Amino acid sequence: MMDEGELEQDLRAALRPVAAPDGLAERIISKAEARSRRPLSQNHWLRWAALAATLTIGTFGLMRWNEKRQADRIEARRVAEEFTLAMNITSRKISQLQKTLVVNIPLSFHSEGQ
Amino acid sequence: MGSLPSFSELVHRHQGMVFSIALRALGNREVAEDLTQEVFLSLHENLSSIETEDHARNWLRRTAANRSVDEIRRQKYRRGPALDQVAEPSVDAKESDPLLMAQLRESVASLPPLARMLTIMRFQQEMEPREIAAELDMPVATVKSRLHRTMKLLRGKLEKRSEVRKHQ
Repeated sequence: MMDEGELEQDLRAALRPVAAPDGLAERIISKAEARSRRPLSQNHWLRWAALAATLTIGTFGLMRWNEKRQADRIEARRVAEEFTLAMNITSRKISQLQKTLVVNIPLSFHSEGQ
Repeated sequence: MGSLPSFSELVHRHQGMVFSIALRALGNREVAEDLTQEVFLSLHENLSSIETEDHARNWLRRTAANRSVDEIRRQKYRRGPALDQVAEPSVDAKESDPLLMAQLRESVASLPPLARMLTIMRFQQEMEPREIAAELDMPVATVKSRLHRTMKLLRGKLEKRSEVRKHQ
């Protein structure tokens, strides 16, 4: 059976820190320098481009949405007018038909129905 | 350690710590080197929020630990080679019992990601459970109980291995 302290000591030895590979620090520093030199101007440009693109897309989208809303309103008004006209025509036809029926049906038919 | 040294000084002073955490967690020198670079480049981007060298060291250790845990999980997800099967390239001739050391490293590499990191922070970085808890934003009791369970698990693994060897 392995002793607790013994296992801890062995773990310390097995996991002990190691030296970083040769040249790693230099590679990191040169990458960091390259990043801080280059992306500053690129980032600046990219940020403005992203802002401009967002504004353009936003404005275009708003215009399209407004146009669509106006077109929908015109269409709704047209449909309502057509519906009113249709209802008027139907109403006129019904009253004409009613008059015709009252005139043409003999009186006997009315009394038989009662 | 009141003031903050330059970035290049920080790299030279702490590259070993970051690389050691990553290497023992990931078991692969190339992946550990890439992770070390990422951690320092991230420090470079966040340097304005770092006040002292102690702050920088804690930041590096925490970032190395968290990124290593993420990388272990990613490797598992990608179904890459199991970490306990990755050859340990740094077998040191000075080690008193190279076989036992290799077995221990394999056993640690087969632990779940968080347990592995807790073991590294405790026995490589020599951190107390309360320090680990503060660094990884965990309750101290959780750190203690996980370390206790991990030690039990490791002991079991080692005993099983020695039993197998006896029978061979």
